[in-house]
Amino acid sequence: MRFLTGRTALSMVEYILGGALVLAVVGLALWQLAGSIAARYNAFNNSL
Amino acid sequence: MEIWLALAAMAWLGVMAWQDLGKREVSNWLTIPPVFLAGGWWAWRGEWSVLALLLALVAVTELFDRLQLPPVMAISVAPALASGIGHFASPRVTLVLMTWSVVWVAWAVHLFGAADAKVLMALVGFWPDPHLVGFLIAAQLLWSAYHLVRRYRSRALKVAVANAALVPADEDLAQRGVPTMPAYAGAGLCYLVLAAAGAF
Repeated sequence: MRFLTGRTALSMVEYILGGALVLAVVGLALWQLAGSIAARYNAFNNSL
Repeated sequence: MEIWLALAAMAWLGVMAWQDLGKREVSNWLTIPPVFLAGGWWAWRGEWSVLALLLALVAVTELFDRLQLPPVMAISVAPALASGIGHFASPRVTLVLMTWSVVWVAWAVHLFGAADAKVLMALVGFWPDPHLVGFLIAAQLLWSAYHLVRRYRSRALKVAVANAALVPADEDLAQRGVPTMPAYAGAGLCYLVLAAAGAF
């Protein structure tokens, strides 16, 4: 049971910061995409 | 907030930060009881899903260990368990379940050690507050940026981007890992002091 018995208290700073950067960029892109799709749906809905 | 619990947590965080800086590890006596206490505390309040998720994650780890499979293969299990167990849970319980599953996945892919994971789980288990989660994430990122710049100087950003899509091995963590408990302790202390002062 390495999870319970593991005592390591270290973190991989290179990977964490890189992962956070990628998450931020991908998250922002998805947010923008969702926003533009929602705007198009709203425009279509209003036109009906 | 109960002041005795906040004071005990501050002392606990301080001892762990001191241990981590000295030995690059934290005693199991300081990490295992709090995480089970957090699960038990929720169960005592009638919310069994938190303890159930903890036991499920321990069982999954044990199963993969017995089958000699790397825990990284089970990374989809944790969020699935959390969303299944906490389907009708309150927002606070949902925050605990989601945080615990994300922390467990981060441990499984060797982003940080088991002691770090258990401490993060215990902190969020006792104080299921998005402010605390934000403090912990900010502390982790600032601590990582500081060590990255200290280690790689002008190449820091290039190294971070190059490693963005890679998964470190267990040996990488042991050889190149940085003690992080002081950052968590700082974030926890800031949160506890601000919460005790009624800032949230």
